[in-house]
Amino acid sequence: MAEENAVPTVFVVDDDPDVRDALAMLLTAAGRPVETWPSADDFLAGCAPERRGCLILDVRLPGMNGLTAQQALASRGYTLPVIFISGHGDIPMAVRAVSAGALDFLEKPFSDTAVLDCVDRALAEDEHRRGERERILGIERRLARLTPREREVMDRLVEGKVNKIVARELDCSTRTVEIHRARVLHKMGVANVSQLVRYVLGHPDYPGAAAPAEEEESGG
Amino acid sequence: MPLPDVAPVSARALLRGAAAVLMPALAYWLAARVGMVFLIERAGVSLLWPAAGVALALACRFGPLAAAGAALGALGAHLESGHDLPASVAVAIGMGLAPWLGAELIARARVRFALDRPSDVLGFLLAGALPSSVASSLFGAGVLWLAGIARWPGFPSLWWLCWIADLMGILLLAPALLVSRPRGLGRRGWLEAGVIAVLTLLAAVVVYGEWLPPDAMLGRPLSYLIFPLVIWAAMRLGPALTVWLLLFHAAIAAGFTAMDSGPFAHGALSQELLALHAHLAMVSLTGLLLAASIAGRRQAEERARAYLDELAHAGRVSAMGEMAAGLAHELNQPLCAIATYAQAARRLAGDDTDPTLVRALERLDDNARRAGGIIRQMRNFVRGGEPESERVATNTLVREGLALTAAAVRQGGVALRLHLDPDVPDVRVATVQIHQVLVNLVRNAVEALAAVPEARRRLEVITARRADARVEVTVTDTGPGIPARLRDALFEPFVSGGGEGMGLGLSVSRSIIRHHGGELRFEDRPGGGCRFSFDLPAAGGRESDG
Repeated sequence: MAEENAVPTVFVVDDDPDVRDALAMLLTAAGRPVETWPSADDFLAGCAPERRGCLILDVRLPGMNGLTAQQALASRGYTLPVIFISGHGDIPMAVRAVSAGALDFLEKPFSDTAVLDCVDRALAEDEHRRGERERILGIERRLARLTPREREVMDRLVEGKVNKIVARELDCSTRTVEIHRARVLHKMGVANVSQLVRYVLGHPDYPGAAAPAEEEESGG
Repeated sequence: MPLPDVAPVSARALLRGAAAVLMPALAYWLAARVGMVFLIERAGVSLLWPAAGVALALACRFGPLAAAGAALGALGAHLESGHDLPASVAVAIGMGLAPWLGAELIARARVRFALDRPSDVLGFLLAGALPSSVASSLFGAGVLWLAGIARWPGFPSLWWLCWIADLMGILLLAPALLVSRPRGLGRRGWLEAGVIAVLTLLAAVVVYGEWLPPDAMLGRPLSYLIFPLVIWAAMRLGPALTVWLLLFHAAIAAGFTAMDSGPFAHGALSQELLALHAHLAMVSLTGLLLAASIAGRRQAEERARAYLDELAHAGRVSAMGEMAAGLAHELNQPLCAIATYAQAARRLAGDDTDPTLVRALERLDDNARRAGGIIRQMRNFVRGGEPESERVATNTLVREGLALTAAAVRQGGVALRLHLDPDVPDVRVATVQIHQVLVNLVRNAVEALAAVPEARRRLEVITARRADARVEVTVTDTGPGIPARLRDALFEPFVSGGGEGMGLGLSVSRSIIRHHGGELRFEDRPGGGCRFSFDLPAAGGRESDG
């Protein structure tokens, strides 16, 4: 699985075998790895959510149509950027698809440059999304390594409080705070407090000072 | 120097204004001369006053200036017959006010002088003829009485004579002068009008000109001959010719009677003319109302027919749209594959391939996509012809839709039951399209019901407000139901149950309902038959009536 996932892949879901085959041929010729699926159900059953790449999805599919497939994908944790293709590309459907999170909308028959542009944008978007997720997971992993006391100290430092104030608030000596602070900076992999602030606030929903207090109570 | 520029224009306006007053004055004066034929010397009043009708008609058509003209004409006529100036002026004021009042009331009552609706005829009589004649007769009789010109035993009977004279003048003349010109009569129509006119002339001259042996006592009975002729005209020729025929006949009748000839002559002029008036009034009322009713019904029929045509057209447009959409989808897939294969081939061929092959592949791609563009345009073109939607009461919508199929339901021997929920919300729809859906569903049902005995042919149409605030319309029949082979493809285009249609009805209907944001569904009716139902979003806001 890990090896398979090394290369971003373009997943094509269309019920028409010729359209599928032609798209696969075009994308392969242009040097993009391709996998094709005849229906959204087959794709969901056969492709793991963590695969890298993007999805080209026909709006009008037998069984599950494109728009419901889009919802099903999201609810099952697929984060692949979606490009819709349609022989019935009317404006309202395009608006609905894009507002539901689709990256782009192509009307059949399309030009190869349009398809490849879209695909490249979608692959870049996938890279970007994965990078972001990695970064956030990294922050969370580091945060998880802090002891509750260290977390308390860190939250106060991030709020901009100096050691003396932190010591008073936590009812301990300034020396103890300094020790905790050194450990926090080390565990979070940063050199100083201003780097720490930038790093931790890079998490989209970094929990404020109140959250760890509760954690401490429940965690014992 | 703007003033010299203005002067000639205002001179012309002045001239036009003078004509607007003087022409009606002249017309009134001429009509008054005719009215003098029916003068009762003693009373100083005439028994038939066509000038009242002329004045009202002119005021209706040309406004207050014409009424002023009528006043001027009246002044002239009264001075001419030797009345003194104050009395003549007083009468003239009344003769101007009366038509002005009538015209004003007629305009307020929104009477259309096509006279093709009974309400217009009644509006003309009640808002125009009645008030105007009462006003002019009160003035006329009042001034004559006060000035001592009338040598008559009592004012009420004097006024009564005056009123009858004015009313008849209006009833006989005003409609003929005001009625819109006949439309769409054709050569045969005019020929028929000519025949009726000749017959009327004959009948009138025979009866009123006393061409009958005097001892046969046939005059009065034969005076009723005019009724069938007027009814004929009313039924076949429309309001305008009927009204003109009435005037034509009345003129002959009144003329002979004034010359002391005919079944209504030979007694005291006042009594006999009153009897003639009663006779003519009945003929006129019959003719006016009958012509209006028939014209009204004919118009309604024409509207219904035009609507059916529109519906059929909308049906063809929808069917075309359905075919276009189906074609677009079916053709787009292979076209897309062709274009994409060509693009792939172009890439696989690489740069050192024969340039002719590269060009061929590029042209292949271009042309496949051009074909796709043509299909897109065709689809947009068909979509462009869609009607606009409007807010309508759901039950009205359903009733109208069913009215369009009433004949088919009746001929099919089908018992139709309606359950219309009075609380069902309004919808915002393209009425023609929803009618088309209803017509399709009902026609299908009627076709299916032909397969069961007449006693079991039942059709039920239900409207209901659904829990989710949507409107649901259900059409249920007790026919044999949908055969299993059609069941899955029921809503696909070109799938037919073997009836007359192309098999587009349900497909088009479902497209229409979906386009309106609803869904058309089918289920089996427990105990045999089908049930089709569709839902539509309720129009928000205020309820409309109906």
